[in-house]
This record gives sequence, C-alpha cells and structure tokens, in this order.
Amino acid sequence: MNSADETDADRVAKTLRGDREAFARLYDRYAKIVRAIVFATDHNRDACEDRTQESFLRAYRQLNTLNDPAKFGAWVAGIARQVAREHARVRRPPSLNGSVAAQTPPGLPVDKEDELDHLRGLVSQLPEEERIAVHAFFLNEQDVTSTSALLNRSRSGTYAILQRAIKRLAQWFGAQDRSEDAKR
Amino acid sequence: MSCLSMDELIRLSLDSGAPEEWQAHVRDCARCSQRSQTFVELLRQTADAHRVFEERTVDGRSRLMTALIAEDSPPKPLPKFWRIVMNRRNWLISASSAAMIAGVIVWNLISVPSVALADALKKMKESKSFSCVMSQWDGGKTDGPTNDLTIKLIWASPGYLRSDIVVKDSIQSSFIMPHDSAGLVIDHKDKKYQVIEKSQMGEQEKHAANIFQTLATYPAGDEKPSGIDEIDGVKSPRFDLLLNQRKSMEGEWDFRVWVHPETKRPLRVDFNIVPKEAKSDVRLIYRLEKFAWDIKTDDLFDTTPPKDYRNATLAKDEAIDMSTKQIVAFLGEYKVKFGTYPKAKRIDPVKIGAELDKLGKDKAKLTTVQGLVLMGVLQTLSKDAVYHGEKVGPDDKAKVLFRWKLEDGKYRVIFGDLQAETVTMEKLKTLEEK
Repeated sequence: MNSADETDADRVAKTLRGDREAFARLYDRYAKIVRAIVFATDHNRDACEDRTQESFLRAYRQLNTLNDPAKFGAWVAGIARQVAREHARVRRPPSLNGSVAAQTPPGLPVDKEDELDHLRGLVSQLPEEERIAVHAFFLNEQDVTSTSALLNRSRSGTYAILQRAIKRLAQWFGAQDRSEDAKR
Repeated sequence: MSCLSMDELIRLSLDSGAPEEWQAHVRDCARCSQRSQTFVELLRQTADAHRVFEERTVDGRSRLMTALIAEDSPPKPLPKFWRIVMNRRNWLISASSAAMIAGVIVWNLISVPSVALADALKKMKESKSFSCVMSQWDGGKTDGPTNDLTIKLIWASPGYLRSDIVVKDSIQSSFIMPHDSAGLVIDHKDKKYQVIEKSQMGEQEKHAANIFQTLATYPAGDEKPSGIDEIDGVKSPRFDLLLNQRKSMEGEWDFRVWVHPETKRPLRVDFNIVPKEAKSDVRLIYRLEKFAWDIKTDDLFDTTPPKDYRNATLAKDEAIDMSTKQIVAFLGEYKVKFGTYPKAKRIDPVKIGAELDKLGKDKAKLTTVQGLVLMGVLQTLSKDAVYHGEKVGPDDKAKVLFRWKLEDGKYRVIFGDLQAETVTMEKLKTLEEK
C-alpha cells in the first residue's frame, strides 16, 4: 500500500499486528496537536515533550480499547487532555471574562516572539473545546474538514466554535478594538 | 449592502466559501476591508504562534520509538461486544446490578406480595416469548438515556435469551444464549464470532436471563400500587419495591414495575442501581421498556455462525490464561497500592472498585478492572471459586490465595506470590490444608 493512501485505521491495525513504525507514523501526524493540548496546562517546553510522550505511550498501551480506529486523532487528543489535567499545576488561571489582555503586565509583548508567546498564552486560556478547535485548525493547514473530524463535529458546528474562539481572542488581544476603530 | 458584522467578518476570514456578496462588499468598502484585515492579521499571527508545536517532532519520534522497544505489543483488541461489556463503568454497574438482581429478583422479590403485580407477572408467565429494550439512564435525569447504547433483549420459554447491542440504530453485536447449549457472540462490525460455552456466559447475560426467568415464574401476591404514572399515554399503576423490605417508604425504591391497566402486562421496569460503596456518579437506572409479547423467534436463537464471519473463539487454554492474567493483574496492582491483598472472604467489585477510584489520578488499568470483576463474577456464579484473602498475604508463597474450578474438574490456583498453577482436586486439598 502506498503510504499516502494509508489511513489512520490502517496504521492502528498495523500497530496492533506489532508494527511500531506504523505507530510512529501516527505520532508524526498527531504529535503537534497533542503538544498543543498539553501546552495549555504547562508552558514549559520540556514538560510538554514529556506529556506528549506520556500521551502516546498511554495510547499505545490502550490501543486495543480504541473502538473506532479511524478516530485515532480524536481519541489521542482525549488522552492528551486527560494527561494535561492530571499534570495541571495547582494555580488559578486568570479570569476569562474578556479582560485578559488588560491584565497583562505593561510592557508585554515587546517583540515578535513575545507577541507570539502572549498569543499562545491567550489561546491556552480559551474554553477547552474552542482551544482544541483553534489548535486543530491551525495545525491542519486551516482545513475545516480535518478539524471537524478531530472534534467529532459537523463543518458548520466547527465553524461556529472557531468563530467564537476568534472573537474571544480578538477581544483579549485588542484586535476587536482596532476593528471597531476602523468601523468608526 | 450594509457593513458586515464582526461575526460575518470573522467567518469571512476563516472560510473561503463564505457568501460572495460578503467578499464583494469587503472589496468595495474601505472600512470593512480594514476591519477584515484585523482578523486576517490575527489569524496569521495565530498560525505563526502554532509553528512552535510542529518543532521537535523528529526528536520526540526517536524518543517514543526507543520507549516502545521496551513495551510489549498492544494486546489484541476485544470484539466490540466485549469492549462494551468490559468498559470499566459498565463493569461496575454490571457487578452492582448482578448483586442487586441476584438479591432482588432471585431471593427477595419472591417474598413481596402484590395483586396487580402478580397479575402482570402471571401474564408474563403465560407468554411464550417477549422482547424489550434496555437502556441506561443517569439516576436523576429524566430527559433521555445516558448514552446512545441500547440493548434489545429477546426472551423465549423455557429460557432462551438473545441480546442485540444497538448504537445509534445500528446493531453492533449479538449475544445468543440458548438455555441448554453453547452460545454465540457475533461482532457484526468486524464480522467475527465467538462460541461461548455455558460456563463462559457473560455476567450481564446470565443475570438478564435470571430477571426474565424469575419475572416469568413469579408467584401471586397482594401488593397495592405505589402510584399511577402516564406511560406512552397510558395511565399505569406503578409498584415501588425495596430490597429486603416488604413495603417501600415514600419515594424510596430499588426497582419499579409499571403495569398496563388493561393487558396487565409490564409496560416498564426500572432498576435503580446505587451501590452503597461506589462513588455517587455510578448511580444509574437500567430501564426495560417497549415490551412486545409472543413474538416470532424462529431464527433468533440459531447459533449457526453467520456466513463469511471469522471465527475468533478463544481456545480453552487461552481463555484460562487470559483469566489468570487478569486476576493476577488486579491482585498485583492492589498489592502495590495497599501493601497486601483485599482482606475479605469475598471479592466485592463495587467496594474495591470504589477503593481504587479513591486513589484518584492513578486509575486502574483495564486488565486490572477485568480481573477484579472476574473474581467477583466467579464467586457469584460458583461456590468452587474461593478467595482466602483474610488469611493469605503476599509473603505466603505456597498458600492458595484464590482458586476456581475449570470445566474439566481441575482447579486453577493463584498462590500468595501470584504464581498460578492448574491442579487436581486432591492436590488442592493438600494445598489448602497448609
């Protein structure tokens, strides 16, 4: 079989037959989304790698319990959420009532990388479903079909979630104000 | 066209398939074009912010592959039927319902008198066959079943039972259990089947069979209805019944039966599953409803494997090995967590499941749960399954910790050090005298 034609279900089946390389190909496909999910509760890069590794090892050990191999992506994302929750630091996240940007210490972000860090921080504070939708969308080349498959949602439902998330991010990031200024 | 709302602008930036008139408006309207750019820029930055998650994939892959070398291959997947049955939550419920059903139906219900109920069950007794649908409801909810899973149960005299597991209107698996011969589990999705000997019957099926068998042979009494409820447009007497008590207090019930006022047949039966030792979130109701009576059962209990389906039956030795592995996994994990084995004469899956749950983060593995429930099931079904946890601990290498009888009359023994052996009855006696 051409590897381009190989589906997630094929990779799961091969893994269950003892082909570890097939599981590595699942890793190649989903490591980035798993990494993004576990990032929400710990922004330390090394810790994220550890959580990502843990998520995939759990997936490997429990692979025989996966009901629908075609949904490996959604399944491993669920495992990642569980791993992230278990390792969540005991700290109260900032309020999500629309004023996160206002709570940011003055002077930040100062450069491009800081700005991206700041944006990642804001994304990680989105409600879980919106956050995962944003990760899935931007880590799948902004393809709504892949995103909706990962979320187990319809395309219209996925758009609705993304729309809410972007609106919230715009509000927190101050983009909404700029947009409204332009409107005026 | 008026200027676009913020939602429309966001949708436009996300979806290249957004309405053409929106796109045309943004092209022509300087203000909307500028506002749109704000969101386009935000999306571009969000995309940039995600690039960091694409790094390290190669390093991570190598690390994962190194870790996998030390791992066994994942166990073979269970047929869908068994995956559902062996779901941890289902197992706990099953185990608790097993205890309740054994207690309620087989022993206690017989002592609860009722006129109308007896009328209903007399009708049931007269019936040659019936079917109903079983669903699972959260205890406090009234707005619908807990999940998309329902089980269609078909019973026929003198004790045939078939259950079809249905998820979203699609039959996933069937379990056919004749009263006098081997049964068959059919996995329709993966086109596989397993032959199940009488001694290997699943917990749920055995007790479901008990429900029907006992309801169908229930003797008369003189219980008055606890109330009248409307079910499917029919005002139906309801009988609230409690475990170990002849009459229920106001609002209390362990199971309920609604009876059709004219046909005198049950319209609905609810089992309130609230294991005392378990966490409150396992409070559930199993509901039997949509009864149909004297249905045709011509081919329903045929245990001929479907054509083109693959035989996935475990050999007897494989089944024994798997059972041993599960039980040892459970006992081993319990020992690691609590320093010893459960100090009890009997293994209570609900109570011990709750103990394991209290440990919080470190959840029990599937094999562990299977082992726990299997021990409970074996002890429920056979007096030859004996647990010596009160006297035997991890240091008692040569002492029998748990044993059960195999089909060939020999015994499978698990010792205090969790080694296992199959022995004759004579050798077992010697071992248990130690």
